[in-house]
Amino acid sequence: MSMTQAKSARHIEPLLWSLFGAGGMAIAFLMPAVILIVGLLVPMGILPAEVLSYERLSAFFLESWFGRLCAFVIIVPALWGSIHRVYHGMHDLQIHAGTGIKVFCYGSVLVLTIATVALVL
Amino acid sequence: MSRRPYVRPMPANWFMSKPAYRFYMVREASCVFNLVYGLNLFAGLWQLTNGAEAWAGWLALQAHPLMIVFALATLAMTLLHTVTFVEMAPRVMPQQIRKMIPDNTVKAAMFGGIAVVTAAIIGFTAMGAM
Repeated sequence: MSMTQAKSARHIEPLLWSLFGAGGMAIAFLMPAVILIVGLLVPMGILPAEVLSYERLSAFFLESWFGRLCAFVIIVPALWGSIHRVYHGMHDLQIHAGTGIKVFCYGSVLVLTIATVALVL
Repeated sequence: MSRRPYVRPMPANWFMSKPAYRFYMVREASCVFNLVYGLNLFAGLWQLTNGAEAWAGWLALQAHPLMIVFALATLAMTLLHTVTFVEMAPRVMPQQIRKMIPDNTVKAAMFGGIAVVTAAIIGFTAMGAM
């Protein structure tokens, strides 16, 4: 690494790496239960449809602060963690993406993050 | 940054040469499933803000046979992520309370935590049926 690089401004990589870590944690702890309920138990009729009724979920995720926080924690870190791994996984598949793809990947997730906050507020 | 790093040529199927590499690639593939499922959940939240009819439409999509297959695959890949994540966590971030905590204690605490959180989410959701 040259001196100019070493001295250059702060890097964004540590931030992206922390978000990736948070995503790995959130996916490991929350996604098994979420996928089980939303993707399997309710669609297959093992849990009754009322558990995901509009009245119940809109009151929880859109009107209570704990519910808003839950919606954010379930969706947002998972997106950051996944996009980080998709972006770096491309390298493993011999796709050497440039800055444009990188900005598109992380930029899209940034837009979705802001949109998630806007949706629950 | 005007640099052109040397990229060592590799065969595109380099990961097929060793079982450990193949497992690594299967594990890494879980991120694609989690990304798509995350987008699906975002769409669900969006439809929830659009009213009861839009929400019902999103729920109907979840019950589509192809979506159920996708959910099954995503659950399997997510569990692979969960197990490998817990397995590596104490090695990536060794925990210390006065002295080093054994890896197995950290793993047991994490698996216990995941079990409690999973039971709590399913329990809280199932309460809506009463």
